[in-house]
Amino acid sequence: MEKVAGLEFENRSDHGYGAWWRNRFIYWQKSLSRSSIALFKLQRRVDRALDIVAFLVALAGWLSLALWIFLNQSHLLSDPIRILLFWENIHPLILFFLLSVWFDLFLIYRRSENAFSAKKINYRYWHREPKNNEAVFNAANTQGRDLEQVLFSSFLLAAKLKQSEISVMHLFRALLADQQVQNVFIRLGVEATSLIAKLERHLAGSTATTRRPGFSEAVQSIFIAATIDAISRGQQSTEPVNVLSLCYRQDKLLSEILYDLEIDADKIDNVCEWFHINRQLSSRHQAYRRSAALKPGGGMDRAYTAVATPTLDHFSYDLTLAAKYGRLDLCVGRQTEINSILEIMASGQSGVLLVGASGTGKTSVVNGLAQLMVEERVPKFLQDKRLVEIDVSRLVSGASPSVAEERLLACISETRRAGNIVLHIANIENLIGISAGGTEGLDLSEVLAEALGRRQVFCLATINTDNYARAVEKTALGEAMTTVGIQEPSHNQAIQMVESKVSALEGRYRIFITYNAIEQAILMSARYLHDKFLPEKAIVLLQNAVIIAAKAFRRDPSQAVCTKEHVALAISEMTGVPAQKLTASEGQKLLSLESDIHQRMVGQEEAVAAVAASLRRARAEMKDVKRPIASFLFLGPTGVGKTELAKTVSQVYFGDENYMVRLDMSEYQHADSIRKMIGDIDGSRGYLTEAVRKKPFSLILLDEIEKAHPDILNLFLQLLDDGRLTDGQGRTISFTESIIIATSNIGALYIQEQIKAKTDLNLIKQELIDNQLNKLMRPELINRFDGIIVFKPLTEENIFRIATLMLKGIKKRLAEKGVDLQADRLGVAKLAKAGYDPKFGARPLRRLLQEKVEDQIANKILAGELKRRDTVIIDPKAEIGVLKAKEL
Amino acid sequence: MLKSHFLISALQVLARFLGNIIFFPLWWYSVGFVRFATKILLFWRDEQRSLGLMVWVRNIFVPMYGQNELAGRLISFVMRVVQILARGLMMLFWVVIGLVLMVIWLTLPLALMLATAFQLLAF
Repeated sequence: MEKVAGLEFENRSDHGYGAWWRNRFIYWQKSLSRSSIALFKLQRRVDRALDIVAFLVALAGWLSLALWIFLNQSHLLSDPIRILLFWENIHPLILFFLLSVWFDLFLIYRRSENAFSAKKINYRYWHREPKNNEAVFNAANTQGRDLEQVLFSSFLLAAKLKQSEISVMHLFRALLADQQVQNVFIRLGVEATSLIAKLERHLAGSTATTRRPGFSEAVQSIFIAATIDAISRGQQSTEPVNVLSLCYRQDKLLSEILYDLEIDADKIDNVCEWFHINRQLSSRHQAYRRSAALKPGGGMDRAYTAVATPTLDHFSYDLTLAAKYGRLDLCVGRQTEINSILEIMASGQSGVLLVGASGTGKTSVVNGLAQLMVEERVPKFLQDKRLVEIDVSRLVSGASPSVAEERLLACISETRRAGNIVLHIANIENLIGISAGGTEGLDLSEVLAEALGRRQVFCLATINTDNYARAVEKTALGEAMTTVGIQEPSHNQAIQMVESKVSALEGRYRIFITYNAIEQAILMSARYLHDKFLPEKAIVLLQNAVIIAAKAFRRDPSQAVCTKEHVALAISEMTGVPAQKLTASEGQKLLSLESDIHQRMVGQEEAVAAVAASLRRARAEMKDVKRPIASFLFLGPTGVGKTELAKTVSQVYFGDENYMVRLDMSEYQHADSIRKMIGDIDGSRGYLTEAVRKKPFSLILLDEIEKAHPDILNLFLQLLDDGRLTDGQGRTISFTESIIIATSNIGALYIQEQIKAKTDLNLIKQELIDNQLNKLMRPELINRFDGIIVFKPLTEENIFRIATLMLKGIKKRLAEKGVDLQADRLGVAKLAKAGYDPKFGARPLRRLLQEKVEDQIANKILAGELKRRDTVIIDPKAEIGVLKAKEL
Repeated sequence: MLKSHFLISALQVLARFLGNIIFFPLWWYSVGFVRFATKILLFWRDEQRSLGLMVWVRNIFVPMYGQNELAGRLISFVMRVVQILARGLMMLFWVVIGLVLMVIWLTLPLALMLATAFQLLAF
């Protein structure tokens, strides 16, 4: 037995290949030949011609009646009744009209029959147990017109290629001609032509035969599974979309071709699901409008047994009324939660509390319930009832606690007397802590809890997880209500929830949204928006991306598509993450990272190579996503380029030096400076946590880490390992998008001596770790850095090149004033030599250049000796001269 | 071979075409009428729901607006009777409309035939 889409297939002697489902043996059999297909197509054409002719004749008939009325208007006007007795007038136009009415009737007949024959699936048959003679079913009977067309094309394709078997590849090629399937691939952003070319190359390769082609077992199993899919979805017939995702799974070669185009099973499934969602939404919408028209529009139930509720009406918003008039969004994928609410209410509990993080869809669940109540698709005790949201801010605004309490009591008693109201309170924590009569008095929430305890009212409330734990759990209110958890949806669920919002977005902004944009919105929001939750954050992100796309569309009308690049731009706007980091366009740049860094950095080849390799690993997402992008400990004497390398990395990796957050650890020498770093419970913000919360994408430079207090170093243990830190207010800050670089001067002297003695760098590093670092830092912290990088003291050669680089900087600044700078090589060498001090690295050089070059140039500018177009000369003696430009 | 194939095909297409035309009057008085009548029935059901007629009948002795005292009950009863009468009349109107439509469905082909014959004979 073979398994496809969870079904077990077998070969039976009487009906051939098939599977058991709902106690029926389902097989697929259809005999096709070129002539039967041609005949079928001819018949379809004749049918269409017949319809068109009938329509035209019917139309002409009505026109002739109108013409007759027009011709006889003078005497018809005097006696309008005569129009109704038109058939008594003997006139060719009337005769033609009467004959044409037959065509009207014929059109009614055709329409009714067409609508009936489009319903290929008989649900009365599928919902009952099969009788003996019904236990086998031919899946070919459920195929709709479009799928039939696909079937014909795949047969004709195989026949044309003289192949004996219609394989999944043939079927898939034929599917690509279908409009719906084409839409799927447009959503996926795949060029159909390249896909078709690839398929045809593979198809042409198979062996040729003259036999009439038959359908392979794989294709049969696909049709059977697709039929079952269509039946489970309640469709009228099996359609090409039902077949599409099954093809992917049934043919290895095909799945490889698609995989090459970045399409995997999940993607196809999610886009197909999108089509089903849209269809469901529109059919649900139609049914919904019909039933909504029957819901009473006022506060009364249908039998007028309810009591007017003036106070409640004043402080509330009627959700069922809003749902009736279509003001609430449709709720998708939350059936389980709604069912558990209904079950809890049915079991006699009068209070239900929806607990979930904000943005997970608590309001959407409440709206979903309101819609079900409008459609009356709820248990009896909720039928003909209203769902009314108490507006807490209105209830308490401008009122003393005792007045607020009085208002709430009035609302509850009205609700109780009316008997047709279910209360909803959003963010119920707002009721807590408002109490009348000082500390002795009753809290508003307790008033509600009491009413719930006496089962006087039904109440559905929402609260977010933090507030629940803080304010409601273990209070009287928490005891009185049963909680229903609203979890953050999984990746695919979230995609489908977002898909249900897409048509509204597309309609509003007139922008086409690709599937990749949706997927990217889920992925990026999950990755970069840490303190918000799915699906809301993805919806917000996608909306922003669509707005960006709409702006681009206004500039360039050929671009009416929202792609994943727009999503990247949107996330970059929302979080400050550089957009180009989010797209794949910088791969090349990272490959040449070393030479890019060396344009700003002189020497330190080993250090640069280690850092570059580590960043490439991070960029190719080979790193552990739950740790920082990279973490380094830079060791070396002062002035050798540790900070410079950090700045360069920030520039090269993030696109700007400003992505660097610099912390001088010498400012964190006391145990209580932890508060300065991560904030405290009183609300003061931590310097480090706040910076990273606002800009998750940043380079954190911990200068002279060895000077920090050991307690602070312990913080970094967790940060380097888990990529997160909890700040003083209890928020989790993610460091997974940060690069951490710590620098230290430990063993500077030792490094200098050993380099002079030409000891191997690795040996020096080991000695530093074993005998010097461990005196100041715990070994587990040292171990957690991705790399410990030793910086060598600078050589004279290095200093010369640094001097050249620095002079380049001066030259650039001078160019802004229209002045050129030319330096003689010997002069630069002399400056470099003068500025060289093995103990302080390049620092003295900077001071020297300031004194010897910049100061002098400044004096000359102020004295008016240096004008535009002049050239500053550094001569071989390192003296500064001016070459005057020619007078004009 | 090809010729006979074409002939068979042509015959099949013609048969279907004629079948359509012959079946049409039969359809009108059988399947077609049943489908039309079902639609009218659904229309009546929706109208009944929208008027809430049965709800009013079921609750005829239940006081309106939660007025449980004797006077309230009496007034409610009277009001409900008035409401039921008014809504009943409305419902009756829709029933009549539906019936008229059904009669039109059944008589239209006959009326057409008569009118056409009348015209043809007069010419």
